[in-house]
Amino acid sequence: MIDKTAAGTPVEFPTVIGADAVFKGELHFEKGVRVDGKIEGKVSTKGHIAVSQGGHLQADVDAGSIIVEGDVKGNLVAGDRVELRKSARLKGDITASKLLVAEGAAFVGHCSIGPDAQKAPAPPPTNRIAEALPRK
Amino acid sequence: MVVEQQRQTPATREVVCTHCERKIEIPATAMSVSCRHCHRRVIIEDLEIKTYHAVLRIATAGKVEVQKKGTLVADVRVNELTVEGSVKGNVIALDRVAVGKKGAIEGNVSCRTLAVEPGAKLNGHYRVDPAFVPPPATPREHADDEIA
Ligand SMILES: [Zn+2]
Repeated sequence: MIDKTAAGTPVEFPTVIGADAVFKGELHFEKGVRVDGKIEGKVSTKGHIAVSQGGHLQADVDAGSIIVEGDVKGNLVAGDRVELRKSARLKGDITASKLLVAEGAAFVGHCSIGPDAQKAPAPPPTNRIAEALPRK
Repeated sequence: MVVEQQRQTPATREVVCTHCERKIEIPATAMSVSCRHCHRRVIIEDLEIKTYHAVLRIATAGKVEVQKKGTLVADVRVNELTVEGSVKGNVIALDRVAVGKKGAIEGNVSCRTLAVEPGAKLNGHYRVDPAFVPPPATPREHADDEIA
């Protein structure tokens, strides 16, 4: 389940990008977001971001933690961890303090993993489309 | 190809040549064989790296385990690699690469599956592809430069 981390900790997603939704631009969320649809551009959140199986991200992501079950093209930066589940397809670089890769996941890109792998925190995004998003 | 049913435990098994990447059948207990395709020596043995070990290339159709206090400085071509210590070099694993919580890999990695425990340190370009087929190792003479 994408609503749980690999360790079994439940993850809440106040925002869900529906399967038929396509967003283009820079999105910022305060909390968790689950992407069943498609985002192109840039995504940032302090919480979790999860890309469901069938979900597409063509975006650079900066999040507390990132769970991928779908397709991602873009660079991932996570303060804590990145989890690639078995159906994950990722093309892009990963910067995170922890990485979990399930058997079956496909990934091409540069990996910078470890407690020192943190990049300087990104400047807060100016464009807050998230606030205009409908909540499910 | 039809594999004959063996009455007892099979006396042979199949591995992939670490030089030409073609399949070879070997006696189950063999430690090294000569590849019937490229006629080069293929090491089958599982290797454990317990201390500091620096070579140009380490290649086996078996497993390499770099233990907690082990450091392997080499380009690695294996079936399976387990890292609890540290590896400096490029890694090609036909099957799986597993990095434990205190493990570290500094170098590029290509493999079919990757398992990383939280705490592991990775730095390099990764290609993790369940359908990954390693390129045949480029035939080369003994390289002039040695790894310190
Ligand atoms: Zn061969």
